[in-house]
Amino acid sequence: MNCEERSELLLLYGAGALERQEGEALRRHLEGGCPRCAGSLAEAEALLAHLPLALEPQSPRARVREQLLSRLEGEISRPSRALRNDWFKAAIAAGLAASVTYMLVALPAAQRGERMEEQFAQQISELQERLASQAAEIDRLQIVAERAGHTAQALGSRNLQLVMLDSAGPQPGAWGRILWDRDRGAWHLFAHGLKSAGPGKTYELWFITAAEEKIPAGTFDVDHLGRATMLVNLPPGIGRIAVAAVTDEPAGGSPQPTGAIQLVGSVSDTAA
Amino acid sequence: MQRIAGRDTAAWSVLYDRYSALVFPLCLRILGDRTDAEELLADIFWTVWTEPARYDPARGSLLSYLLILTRSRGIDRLRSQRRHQTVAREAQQAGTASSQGGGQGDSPLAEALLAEQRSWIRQALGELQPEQRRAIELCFYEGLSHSEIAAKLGQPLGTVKGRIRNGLIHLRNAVRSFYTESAS
Repeated sequence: MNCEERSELLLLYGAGALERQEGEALRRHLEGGCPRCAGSLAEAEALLAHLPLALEPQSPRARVREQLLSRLEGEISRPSRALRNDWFKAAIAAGLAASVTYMLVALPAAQRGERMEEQFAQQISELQERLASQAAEIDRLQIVAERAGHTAQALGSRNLQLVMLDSAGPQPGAWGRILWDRDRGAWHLFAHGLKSAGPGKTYELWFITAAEEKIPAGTFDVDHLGRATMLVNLPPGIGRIAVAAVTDEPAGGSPQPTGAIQLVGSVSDTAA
Repeated sequence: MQRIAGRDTAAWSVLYDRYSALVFPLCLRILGDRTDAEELLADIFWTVWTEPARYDPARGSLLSYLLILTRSRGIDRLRSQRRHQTVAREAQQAGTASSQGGGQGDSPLAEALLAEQRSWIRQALGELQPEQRRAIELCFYEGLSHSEIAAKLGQPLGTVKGRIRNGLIHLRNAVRSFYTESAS
């Protein structure tokens, strides 16, 4: 199993859906310090933290707050925290001194080493987790920046063509545009107003040649507002493209269209 | 949280007023019993007071931290109740004081973002098939594993696994899109 496959399992792991044995294997892998999986787990936890936001806000009874506040204030009014801290510090210092003496004198060196190793491993693991989370965020932002850069580059092309995609029926409010950067042989697809393709399904873009050959151009999913962007490099020697279309297909895409046409537009042979 | 670490009860009060109405529904959803839910809520906000350093801003928002902690402790309590066969499954909704103001005292921007997040997650959940949503809820709010959910729903294990997996992947893609949109 590779880390791509683990990323889906980590969603289930984070949700607590896995059986003990399945979870154990993942836990061991995470403990091995895999940064990618640590990032996937952080993402899964962030996702799961969103789920309760769907619940209607509801206040507890006022007495809960009152009782808690009273408990808090009671805790503060006990012997001054600073004094207690001094006492604690002294106690901890004495305890630490005794522990260090014990460790130095009584514990075998190997055991001391093991303890220190465990502490370092824990600290390293925590740092790795943070780094992985930040690396995942950087990756995501890089993708956003890269897409924006490609679009800006296309808009600066001297040989730019616009292809209008209109709804083919099933989703009347849907539409799309393709910026065809002829200098670079790239299509920038922008789709709007599409519903989620649904579980186990995705949207697929097609090049349809003048000879009515249907060539898959890539799959995409829409966001919560029904929008999607995709960059497609035209295959060399594809010939004249007469039509562009979007269909819904099983997840992963199809070699030939099987679903309903959602968006369609004719492609003229001249650049603007 | 720094002020709370400095034993500032006013700061704790602000935090409680801001988040308790968002955390409490989760307590209630997991435990089903109002008194149990209030005990859990008190446990969470007591932890905020006694162990403020547990919250690490690098790992996410304070609200996310509170919700993850609540879910974890709530499921622990639920499992403990199940072990003792004293689980009470009927939520006591009577006398509930409803509040729409989950973000009182927050900045207008933060409130707007929270409202958008809540609207968006509801929409994303609404896009799931009812069976998918039910399976995910059993897993998330009741802490059941694949096999326990399959037994409870009387459905094949493979079907339940597929539903939860596909549902969570759909939600994950929705999260990514939401934040990609927010960032762009």
